[in-house]
Order: sequence, then structure tokens, then C-alpha cells
Amino acid sequence: MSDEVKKREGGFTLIEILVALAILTIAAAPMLYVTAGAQRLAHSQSEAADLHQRARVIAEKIQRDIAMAGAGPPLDLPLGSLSAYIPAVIPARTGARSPDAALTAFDDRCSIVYVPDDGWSARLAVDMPDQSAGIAIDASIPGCPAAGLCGFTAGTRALILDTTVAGAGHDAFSVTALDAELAHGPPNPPLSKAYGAATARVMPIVQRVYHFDRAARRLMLYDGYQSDVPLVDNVVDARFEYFVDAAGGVGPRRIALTELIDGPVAGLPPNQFDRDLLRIRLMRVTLRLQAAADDVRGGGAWFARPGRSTSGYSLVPDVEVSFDVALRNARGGS
Amino acid sequence: MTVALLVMLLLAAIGAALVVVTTTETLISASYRSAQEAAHGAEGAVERALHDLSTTPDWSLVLAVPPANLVSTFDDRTSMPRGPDGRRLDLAALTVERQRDSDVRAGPSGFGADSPQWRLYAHAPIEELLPSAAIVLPVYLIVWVADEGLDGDGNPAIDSNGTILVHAEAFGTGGTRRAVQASIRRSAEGVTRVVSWHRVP
Repeated sequence: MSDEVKKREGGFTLIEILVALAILTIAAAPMLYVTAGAQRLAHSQSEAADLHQRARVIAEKIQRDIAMAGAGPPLDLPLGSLSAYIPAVIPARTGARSPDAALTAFDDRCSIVYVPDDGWSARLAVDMPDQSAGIAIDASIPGCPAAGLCGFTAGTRALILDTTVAGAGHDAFSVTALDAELAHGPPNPPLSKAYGAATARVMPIVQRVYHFDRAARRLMLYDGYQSDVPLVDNVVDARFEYFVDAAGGVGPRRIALTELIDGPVAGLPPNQFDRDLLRIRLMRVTLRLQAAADDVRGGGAWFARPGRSTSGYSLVPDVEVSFDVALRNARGGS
Repeated sequence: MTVALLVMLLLAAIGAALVVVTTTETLISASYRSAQEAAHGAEGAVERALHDLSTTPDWSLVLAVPPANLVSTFDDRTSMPRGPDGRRLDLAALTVERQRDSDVRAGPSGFGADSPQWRLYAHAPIEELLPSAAIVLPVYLIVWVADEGLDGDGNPAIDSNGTILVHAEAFGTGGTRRAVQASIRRSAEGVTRVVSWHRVP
């Protein structure tokens, strides 16, 4: 083998390899820097999109529920909407599980009640002998759905309402069993009274209790009975405010929570309420959400909870959403 | 050379992912905006219908069998208007669809001869609701009215208890469609009140 061939097949020397690696590293460093920046940017954009989507979803849902708050069945309530009899919104947690005491108010929770758009109302066949008795429904009236007992089946969330005047009595319950009557045993609380057939109406309802779990940073949704689930994660603040018609009809006036518990009082225990709740016409909801990943949150006023990002490539500030919603069904009130 | 190509490939992949994220976000935002416009449009249509109905002395006039029924002045006098997304809206077919949906919930099986019969009451682009042309929204509005089923008079073309149903639908871009249904009642003093107001899924 000639010397020239030996030299060609002898490979690289260590020096040659080290020099090549050094050149390669120097050439690749800026490219890797650019790539890493692009990666951070892509990650933060994904987080920003998720943040905005969560804000949209929750705003849409709450807005819809508040707008329909107090809606009654399309017919058969002498005074119109539910909000003529009971508060459509209450600044407290209501329902079977861990309810707030009557006549308390908080700015981080709100209970909403309405009859769904395909709802109806039923009359009682006979007076209830006592408040623990089953509710006998007159299924012969026009408009009674065919399913179950005039549309009520086990699990239906329902409201029984005395339509004599506002505050004459109401109770929300879930139908626990169904035979000739609607059973409303535990875990439902006892009804506040025995209802009479002449004035009582029973109707399916949607009950929504939005409440802010500050420790877990979640907005929760409770259905008034058994289901209490997180609705949106990474919520760092949630506030509900209430407005009534101002004197002289000049725009809505914000009403303090203290005014919503200071009387005069209507209703029967444990469902007593301040009559000022019947005057609520508008709600303002303010939500603040943060990005889920802490590597896209930085420090300063933009972040309720600082993260560990120091790069401008990857900062996703908190989003604060505030919106006013008029209670559409409040107009039919007393 | 190889490193440069690999880096370029990686950057292209990241860029493509960014494009997908931002494009999707743009589409979601546009869809959300369209849905909001349509939802508010449907509410506006109900309000407009309420205004006209409150000045109508007898609601049986609007419930009469077409073509004898009274219709709103919110009317662009077309039977096949073009929707915001360019498609034709067949008002007759949409009225049939409205009736079919209503019959599922409140049809003759539940209300007998009193089951609601829907009449086309108003239809026009949302621009006709707005005071000026400064805001242009791509929304078309349609309103139907019907007698409610509990008045017991056996005739869905006659309002015998001062209560009727109003159903408004708004058609936006990208096939967006939102509906609001209200039942309204006229008191003895002649005041029109909303008995129930629902956004319909």
C-alpha cells in the first residue's frame, strides 16, 4: 500500500476533531438560541390561547345563566316570571349540601334559579297534609309532558312555589322517588311548609351556584343537590356585584351586599330572603384568570401569582374579564 | 451545513405550530364574536317585536291564518333573503321547521287543538334595527309568533287570554344561529310584560 493511500485511510487526528467541534459549537450556538426562543414563544402562545378560551367559555356560561335567571315556565304563573315571587339571584350558596345561612351575602358566590326553556308548571292534585308528605301532581292538565309524572322523573330538580304573593313560600328539591307522588326525602332538606293545591305550582328548574374556591383557584359549579364540580381552573379572583333600578329611573345603582341582608325579610325559614333581592335588575361579574403554567408567568401587577419566567418571549399576563348582564326576566316581576 | 438544515427544520416545525395555534385562535375568536352578535341580534329582534305587538290592539290579528295575519313593519319584503354567509334563507321552510320543533315540545299530544301554530311575523337584516349605518353587523333576523297552548279556546289563531309566544332567530356568519323565545302577556291596563324569556339551545 502506498504512503498516499495509507494517509487517506488513516482518519482524523484528535486535533482535527476538536477544532471541528469547536467550529460547530460556535456556529450552532446562535441557531440554538433562536430555536429556544421560538420554542418559548410557541409554548406561551399555546398558554395564551388556552387562557383566552377558558375566559370565553366561563363568560359565555355565566352570562347565559344570569340572563335567564328568574325565568318561569312560559305560562301558568299568575304574576309572570319566578322573580315576581322569589329572588332570581342570591349572593350566597343555596342547595342541599352546605348551604349558607339565610340572610347572608358574599361577593364570591352566586346562586341562580330559572325554569328551563322546555319547562312547564304543574298543579297539586290535593293539599299536602304536612310538609314531609309526597307531592301529589295533577297530571290531567293540558301541557303535562307524558314522561314520568307530568314530566317529573326521579332526579328532576324542581321548585314548589306558593303563588299567593312574593315570599309566601318556596322550596327547591330533587325528586328522590316517583310513584303516585313526588317524593322529596333526604338528602333534600325538609320543605318549609305544607303547600295547598289552590295556590302551589311545581316546576322543573335549573339551579346554578357559582362559587370561587380561592384555595384551589377554581370556579366551582354546584347544581343545588349532589354535583359540585370545578368549572374552570386557574381562576385567581371572582366577584359578583348587584345593581337595582336607581330612584327616578336614572340608570342602575350598585347595591351593597349589606343592603341585601338588612331586611325587610320575606319567605319562610330556611328560605328567607331580603326583599331587596327582588329588585335586582343587573349583575356585574369580574373574573381574573391566570395562565396554567408558571413558566409563562412573571412578576409585577400583571400577575396575581408570580411565576418563574424572566423572558419577554414567554410572558402571558393574567386576563381580567368583567361584564354586566341584565336579568331579562326581572321585567316581569312585581 | 447539516446543523443549519436541522435547525431550519426545527424552526419550521415550531413556526408551523405557531401558525396553527394563532389560526385556530383567530377562528375561535371569530366564531365567538359571530355567536355573540347573533345572540344579541335575536334579543334585539324580540324587543322590536314586543314594541310592535304592544301597539297592536288585538293579538289575534297577528295569529290569523296567513295571508290574513298582520305582520310587523320590521319586514324587508322578501321570501328568500340572503343570509350573512351568502346562503338563501327559505322563510317558508324555516317556518315549517319552527312548527316541527314546537310540536315536539308543545304539540297536539300535549295541548290538543290549542297547540301553538307559528306565524312568520318579522324578518329583515339587523341594520334595519340600528339607528345609523355606522355599525354593520352581518346578522339576519326572523321572528315568529304563536298563541300559547293553555288558553283553552281550541283555536290557535285566536288569543283569548292576552298571552302569546314570540320566537326570534338570528342568523350570523359561518352558519351561526341563535334563538330567543319569550312569552308575553298584556295586563288589564294594556301593559305588555315578559312572562318568560329564554335563550333556546
